[in-house]
Amino acid sequence: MTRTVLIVDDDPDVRTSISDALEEEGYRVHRAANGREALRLLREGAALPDVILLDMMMPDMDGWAFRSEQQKEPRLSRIPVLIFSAYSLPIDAATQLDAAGFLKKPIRMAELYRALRSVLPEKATS
Amino acid sequence: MTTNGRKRILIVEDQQLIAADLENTLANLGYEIVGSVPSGEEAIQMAFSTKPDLVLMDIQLQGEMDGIQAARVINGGLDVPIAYLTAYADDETLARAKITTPFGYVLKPYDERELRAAVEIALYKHEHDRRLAEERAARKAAEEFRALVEAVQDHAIYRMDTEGRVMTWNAGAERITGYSTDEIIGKPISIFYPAEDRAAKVPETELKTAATEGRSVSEGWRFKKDGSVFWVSSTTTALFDDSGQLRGFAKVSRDLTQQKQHEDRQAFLDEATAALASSLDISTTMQRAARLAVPVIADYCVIQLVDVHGRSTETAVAHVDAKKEALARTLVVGALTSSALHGPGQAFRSQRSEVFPEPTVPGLAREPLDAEHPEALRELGIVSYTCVPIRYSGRRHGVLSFLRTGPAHRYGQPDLAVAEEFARRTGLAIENARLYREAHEAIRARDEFLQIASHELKTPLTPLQMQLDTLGRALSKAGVQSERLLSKLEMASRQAARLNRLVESLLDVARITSGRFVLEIEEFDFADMIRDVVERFRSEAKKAHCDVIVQVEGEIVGKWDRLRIEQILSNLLSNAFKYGEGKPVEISARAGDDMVRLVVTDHGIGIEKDALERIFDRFERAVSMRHYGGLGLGLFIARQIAEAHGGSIVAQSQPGSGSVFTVLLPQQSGDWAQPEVRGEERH
Repeated sequence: MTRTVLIVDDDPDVRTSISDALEEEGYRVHRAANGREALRLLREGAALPDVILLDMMMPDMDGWAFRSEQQKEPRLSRIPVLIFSAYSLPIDAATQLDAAGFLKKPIRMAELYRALRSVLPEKATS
Repeated sequence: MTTNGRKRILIVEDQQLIAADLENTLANLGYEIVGSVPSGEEAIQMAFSTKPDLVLMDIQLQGEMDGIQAARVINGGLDVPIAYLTAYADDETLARAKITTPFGYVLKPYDERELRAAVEIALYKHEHDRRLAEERAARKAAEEFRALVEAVQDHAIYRMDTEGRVMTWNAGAERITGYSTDEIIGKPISIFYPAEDRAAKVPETELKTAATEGRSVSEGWRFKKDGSVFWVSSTTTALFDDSGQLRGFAKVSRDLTQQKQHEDRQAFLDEATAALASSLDISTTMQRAARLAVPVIADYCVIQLVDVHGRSTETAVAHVDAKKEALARTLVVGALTSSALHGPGQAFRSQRSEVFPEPTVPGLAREPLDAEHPEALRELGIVSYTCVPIRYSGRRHGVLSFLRTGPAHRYGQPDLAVAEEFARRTGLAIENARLYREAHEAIRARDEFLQIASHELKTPLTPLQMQLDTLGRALSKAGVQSERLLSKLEMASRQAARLNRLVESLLDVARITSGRFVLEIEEFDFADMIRDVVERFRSEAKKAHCDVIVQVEGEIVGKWDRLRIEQILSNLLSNAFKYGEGKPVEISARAGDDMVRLVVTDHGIGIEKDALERIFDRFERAVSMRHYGGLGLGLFIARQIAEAHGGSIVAQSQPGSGSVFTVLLPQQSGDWAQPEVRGEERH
């Protein structure tokens, strides 16, 4: 079964390079440029992604605001989130966000694959 | 000496019959005869040993000495009247006798009545003379004392009656208080005391204490005739007559105004300086200093500050009467820009101090301050002031003004000196505060910039590294085996990774120096961590041709920030490879005494002795900039990490034979490690 990843990041090159890498590995990838777009995609889409890669610093609804909205809706709150950021977060902030993991930018491909595998135990086979 | 009231007489007569008769007659008359001798020598002896009340001396005597000579000797040593007995007195004898100031003559032959009269007169005259002499001496002593007291200039010495009214006065009292003798006699001493003291019955208490305990001592402010104040230290003594009745009081006072004012000024300077040093918030310290000045140095103190453009920034106002403070504040608005000829505006414009009234100007010849609010000025009743510009190294910061209302104090040179000193210190404090603020701002701006810059620098790295990785994968999937192509890709990846490390270092430094460096403590096996890192550096070690030898036994479990400890080891290892000249690198770790000792040894070029400490400084490298690349931050960060854990890192080296880096860490850093490291801003 193909796993789907939603990448939320305001930098188009980051979206593209992450997408390329993930698609290489057999994932399907959706993209959103900020929290608001991501919420729209989630609410409108029929199928939900298996994991969300979330950047924190974005205009027009940042990572914190998105997470807060996501947690309000039970349907959406179940989706695990991997925080993907250039800044390291203080411990209490990370706890508040209740993320499945924290990935520091810039990330190597191998590490990205590892992280996704740990959150989604069954790897997709293409 | 008279015993039992009878007068004692010594008879000096060589003719025995007369002597015997004298003795008899005098005894019958009621006198006591202490002796009867025939010669001058014996007369002298007897006179000195018996000390009679009268010596009855015959002029002609046995032996060489006559009565006159004997009398001379006796008079030289004793105060005893001598009456001469003589049968015959020629002029010469009489002349000689007169010199000895006899108290009488008895001519032979004598009768009883004559004898008695002569003796009585002699005794009386002597007594009378003695009393006169005593009185004269007493009068002389009193005169001398009075002259002495009068002459004393710097002590007020005077007497009061039992009610405390002034009875005598001296030059010192006049000089100190301004009151002349005529003006003060009969007035109560309470006129010198301030109203609060009078209300509290202080003068009465002083007198009462003196009356009951003998004396009382006091210190305080008193008023002169012209209304100005002086500080005295005085002693009041109660005077009693012979029967123990209170007769009055004597008071001695010393004018210590100068010392007191000097002490007050010094105390003000000390306290105000402490206030200036206590805080870098200028507003607070100015207000504190203004309050300190009141009421000791001023009745009304104003400190006005301006910014670099001359616009008013801070104004601190303190008034001895809190109710008048609001009024006082209205007076200063715009004062520095006023075109007045006197006052703060003038001091600011000319940068010269001003004291009013000037010492050479008697009285108030003009309005003390030209003000835009003359009614307020009048209501405040300013009598004297000093305005001093506050400046530092050519920069004008404002004006400090001390003002007095009421006649009690007048400003003079010493007050100006205090004001100028205080203004100087204020200028300095303002400069310090400004520099501190600027430094803080610069550091904050720099840290903010570093943060933003690091983030911005990392942004292109994300897609860059990702693309290189996927490119590599695509190439291998496409079956490309070209060593050339693959190695080019590898190098691009390596450089991107290096760039990433450099940016991370910059970010770390920014975090450290802005105090946002936080340790995340977890429990892990130190030996395990070493092996992980060594594995990661395998390719780098191969490139440097350095064999890595790990000397660790068993497990070393403890609590540290794993990522950060790995950072230390990584840094030490990459340095070892860089400077190791391809020789082996040893890593050892040992636990003991609740500490872990990590040692990284290389056998390469080594480090010069004077560089051994410097290498841990920021941006410092042991070798010249051209050779070995890097930002020079690695060891600085390594030391910060070690110290944040409560440990240390030191370097030892033998130039030419290699270096040894020793890291000491508490085994349970998590238990007490500082959660935050303060880099530059250690307090």
